[in-house]
Amino acid sequence: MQMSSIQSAAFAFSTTPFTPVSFLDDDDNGLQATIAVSNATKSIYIAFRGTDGEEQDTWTDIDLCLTPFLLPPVDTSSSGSGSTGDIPDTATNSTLRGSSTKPGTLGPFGKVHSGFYSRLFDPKKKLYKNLADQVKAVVSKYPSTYNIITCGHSLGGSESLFLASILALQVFPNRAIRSYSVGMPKTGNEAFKNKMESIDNLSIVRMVYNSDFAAHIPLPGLTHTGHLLLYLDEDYDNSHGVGRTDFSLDLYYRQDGSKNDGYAGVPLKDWLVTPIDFVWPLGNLYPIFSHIPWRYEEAADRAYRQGIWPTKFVPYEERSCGFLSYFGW
Amino acid sequence: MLDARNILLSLLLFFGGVILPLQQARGQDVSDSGSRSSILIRDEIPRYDLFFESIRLGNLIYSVSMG
Repeated sequence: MQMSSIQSAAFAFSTTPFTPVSFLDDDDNGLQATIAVSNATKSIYIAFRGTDGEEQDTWTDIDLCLTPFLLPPVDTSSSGSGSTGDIPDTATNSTLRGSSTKPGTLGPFGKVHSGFYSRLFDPKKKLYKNLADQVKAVVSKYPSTYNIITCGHSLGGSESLFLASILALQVFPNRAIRSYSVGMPKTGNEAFKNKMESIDNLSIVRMVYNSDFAAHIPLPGLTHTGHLLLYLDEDYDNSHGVGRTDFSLDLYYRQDGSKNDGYAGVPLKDWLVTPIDFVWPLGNLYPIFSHIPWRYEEAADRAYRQGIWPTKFVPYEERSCGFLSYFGW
Repeated sequence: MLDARNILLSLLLFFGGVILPLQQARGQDVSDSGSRSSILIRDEIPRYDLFFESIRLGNLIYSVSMG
């Protein structure tokens, strides 16, 4: 593992509100993350890079097996040094057999995308511990009122969610941790989703731009985690014939909604993407172009400037018009 | 407008990508520990300024990684 200097980051961030604190760059598996502080919003951010066309990213993305989500121990003492143990062997760990859990190890919390998990939780590299130690050191230098936020685009969003769970459960159980991502693919199964969404001090919100293909890939056994900010452009018109007259940004409660809580889920007409969307009508490459990270920045800014940044979850009553309405009828 | 091809593909995708995975995921044991906290923000409405900065930093790291 190589810890590069933060000089290049400092140059890139020079016109932004961020002060880069550290930059982690692993040449072997391609994981890149940075810790930066914004005094404008009094926030400490940990951002992960998404898929960038590098070979390691490809191998990570296509490792579609499911692996138990075990949280290895991290040192939660104030010293910030030392480890309380190694990551358990997921193939033989006793927790998988329903018996005792290795001291300090949490889980399994359902199953997750093996490639995403292995990159951060590689037992030899222990990047998760390196990052947790660095975050702990940075946080200790700022007032407790500073926000702690993990973030990332695409694959980076999944990695940021994993780190957020470590921070929320082990490192800062009495601090608010926010996991904000854009264009994040499905990362864990239903059990993982339920566990992550039950953590009191963890807010998980992901944004999807139009029919972003990464967020719509039907990965077998996996589902989406957290609340959804769905941005739909005014000219978003997929092959389902759903015409629009204005753009929108709606906040959906855990994607599927909760009738009992009075919140609606995403209508299928706004979410469903078929292979036809990629090829027909000719030139409709919305799912591809919608994944471009800069578009998310523009969309969020536009929504805020137009005064439509959501202040509540979409109420169930507004979207309970019957099954056929999901298809635009 | 919807046509037959769209409906068929939509149904295939729906049952292949949603229903079956949910069936597979059902019934898996999840241990529960460490999820209770004195802080409760899991259903918080995201703040624009924090979310926007997180997107911006997430994009900046691409610039840094590309040199």
